[in-house]
Amino acid sequence: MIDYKKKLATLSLQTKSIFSGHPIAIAGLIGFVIFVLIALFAPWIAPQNPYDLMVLDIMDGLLPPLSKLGNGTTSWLGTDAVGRDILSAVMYGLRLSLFVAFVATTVGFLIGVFLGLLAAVKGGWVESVIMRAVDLKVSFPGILLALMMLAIFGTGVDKIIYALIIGVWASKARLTRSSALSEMQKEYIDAARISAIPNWRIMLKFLLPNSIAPVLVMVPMSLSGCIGAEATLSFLGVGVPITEPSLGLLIANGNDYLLSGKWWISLFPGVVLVSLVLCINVVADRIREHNNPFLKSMNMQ
Amino acid sequence: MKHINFKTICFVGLFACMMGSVYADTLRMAYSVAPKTIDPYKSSASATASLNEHLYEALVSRTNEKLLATSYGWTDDTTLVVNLREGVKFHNGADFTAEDVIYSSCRMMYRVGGKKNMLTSAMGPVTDVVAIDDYTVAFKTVGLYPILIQKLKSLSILDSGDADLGPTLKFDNTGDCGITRYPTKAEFESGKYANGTGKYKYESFENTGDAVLVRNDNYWGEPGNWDRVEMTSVSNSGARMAGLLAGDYDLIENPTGEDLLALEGNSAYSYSTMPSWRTIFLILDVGSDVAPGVRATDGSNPLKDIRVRQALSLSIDRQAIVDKLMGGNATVASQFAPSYQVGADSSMPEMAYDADKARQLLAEAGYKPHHISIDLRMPTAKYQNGTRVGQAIAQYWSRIGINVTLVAEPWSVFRKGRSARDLGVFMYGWGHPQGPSQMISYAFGTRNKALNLGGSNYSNYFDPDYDAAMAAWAVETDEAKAFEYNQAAMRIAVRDLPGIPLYYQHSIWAHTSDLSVIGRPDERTFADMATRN
Repeated sequence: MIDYKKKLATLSLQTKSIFSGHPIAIAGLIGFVIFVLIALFAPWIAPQNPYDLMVLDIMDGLLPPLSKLGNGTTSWLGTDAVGRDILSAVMYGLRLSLFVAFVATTVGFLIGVFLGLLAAVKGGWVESVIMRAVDLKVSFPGILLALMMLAIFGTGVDKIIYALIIGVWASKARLTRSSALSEMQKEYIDAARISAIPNWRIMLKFLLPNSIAPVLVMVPMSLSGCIGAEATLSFLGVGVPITEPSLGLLIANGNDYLLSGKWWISLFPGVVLVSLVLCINVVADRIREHNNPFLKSMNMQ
Repeated sequence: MKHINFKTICFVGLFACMMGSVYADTLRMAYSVAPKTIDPYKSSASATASLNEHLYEALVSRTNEKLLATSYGWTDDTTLVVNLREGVKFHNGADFTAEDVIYSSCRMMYRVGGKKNMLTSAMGPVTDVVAIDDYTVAFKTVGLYPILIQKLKSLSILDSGDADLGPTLKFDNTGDCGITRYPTKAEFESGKYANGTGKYKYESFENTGDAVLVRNDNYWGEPGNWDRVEMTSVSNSGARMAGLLAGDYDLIENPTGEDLLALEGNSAYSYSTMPSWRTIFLILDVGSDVAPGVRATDGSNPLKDIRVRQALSLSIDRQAIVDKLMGGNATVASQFAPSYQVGADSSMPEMAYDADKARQLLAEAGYKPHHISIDLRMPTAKYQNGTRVGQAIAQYWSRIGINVTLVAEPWSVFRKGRSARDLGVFMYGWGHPQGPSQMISYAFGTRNKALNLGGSNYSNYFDPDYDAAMAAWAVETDEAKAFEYNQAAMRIAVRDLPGIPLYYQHSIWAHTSDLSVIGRPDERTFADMATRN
């Protein structure tokens, strides 16, 4: 039996050992938590619901920061062409970007790990099919694949999530398989097999907990990758709906106005996007560094 | 000292001469879309047609000026006689005669490399093209076909000397015509037969869309404004504008409205606008029992109720859209085609805006706020500021209590949905030299293949009076009467609102401020639009 309390305690201890003495990583973590909190509570703290067309007015369009809107409220960061308050739009955009990235990473991770384990345990043609599919996926630029999918199936939050999942699962599957294969050499697996324990139990009970660590390290990287990919696709106009802009689409909207000096439409979403990805990457780097036995041994020396 | 001064003067003088010969007579233009071919019959795309119009001429121009025709008229119900201009020479020096018109008609129908040309519809109902004498030609049609002269605007005249005509040249609908050898596709694309009567002569063309043209000094009318025209195409509007600002181009087409804000206050650059023939409108499915993407609480299609359609139209502040989103570069619509186009009833009032009346009409129709939900579908990156206009319309509709979902999709996806008639309400734009009649004959009314009516009736709109007016229009050879029928149909359409007219788009060209540019309404870019001040 796995002792979950003990696991949790180990986890918090691990977290401490990862971050203690690394102020930049701690700052990144705090920044990330703040962004997540803003995203979670956007509907309560944003001055306007930027997705509700009822409250938008094109007569409020393209106002610079600190302008008064038609309804008497102040727009702190200005408005875009259709009268959307940039501050509110950034908060909601953050929510959408993080939601898309979280879902795509989680689902992609689950699919990847499952297929990786399956390949390792089953072997034979199952392994061949899965790993050739991985090779095929990895040999193809992810963003191109996503662009093609969205051009064929149309746009929308659900479709962009599918497109991103396809980008995420393959590398996870490959890593899980190789990590699981090295576990398979060990005696406890042989013992389990001899005891006629069914494959699915071996997979979930023994292989999964012991081979998942290196894959988990990839998760934060995937998350920031998905945020970037979603922003790219939305910037190119094949991502989220135009009435519900994510950070990437907000930047794209403002891009048209950069030459004419309306800088606030792109700048604020851009700063938030860069900060968010930076925070996650700093944390991800630290976790990777901590888990890399090679780097660790160098530190010990 | 004297010596140096003399040298300086010489140098400056020489430099000025060089500047003069290089710049004063060369126009460098950047298109937004690359022309694909210099064969005038291979493509109907606007960019290709723009390039080819420099080289080739038709009998009548798109703005109804007589080019290679001097007069035309119907001698009986099925015979259109055209008198041709005398003394016109092709770029290679050959004389233009009636034989060239017959040859060009054949070439239009001829399948180059087995492939049907894009532009063959003009010749569809034509059974024969006959030379009465060297400068008179008669087109025979299978039945009444009064708009033939409009259709002939796409018949670019080529030199019959470029082919081996054989013993007898006789028009037929396959384009064989007894001609023993046509120039091959490769020969045509090499520029060897880019031999028209146009104001400019071919010098070079790359399939990337870059072309160099030189003035045709033997042109029959007023010669071209430029010794030399260099064309290139840059699809990204920002890069096009950057090229203009960097001095790479003198004239660019389709800058974005936002780019114009950047030009204001810069005295070295200027821009010109021209109301175009393109109308932006919404199509509503008013005929189906259930319209795709349109839902009402009672399960019916609310768009069947004229009051709902009126409310949808009245709720839109078109003037605000024109001022705030289009930067003034559009005209509020009064009907489904520009009121300033030939054949339109210019006295029709602008579409009204009255949100209170709209709410009242919805209430009268029995719909409370949030009883109706509409998916407003539209293509992205197709019309100027399209998606912003879509959002503005969604704002206006939601303010009268309609739940709107704006669905903006890439053109490829949108077009599939439209062909499958899966779009209950969508935004669209249409512009055509034939004007109001073209729009209204295809867009609404019962489908009539024989008269070519109602082919794109996505509204599923049927009205007997409308059909009667259009059926009368289709066979009316008297132009003034044809206009009247067409205007009557237009008034019925605006009364019944099978769609909602929004505004007429304006075309924009940005250029260096030493040019004067008078744009064209058909969204084409022609070198002689520009003159140097």
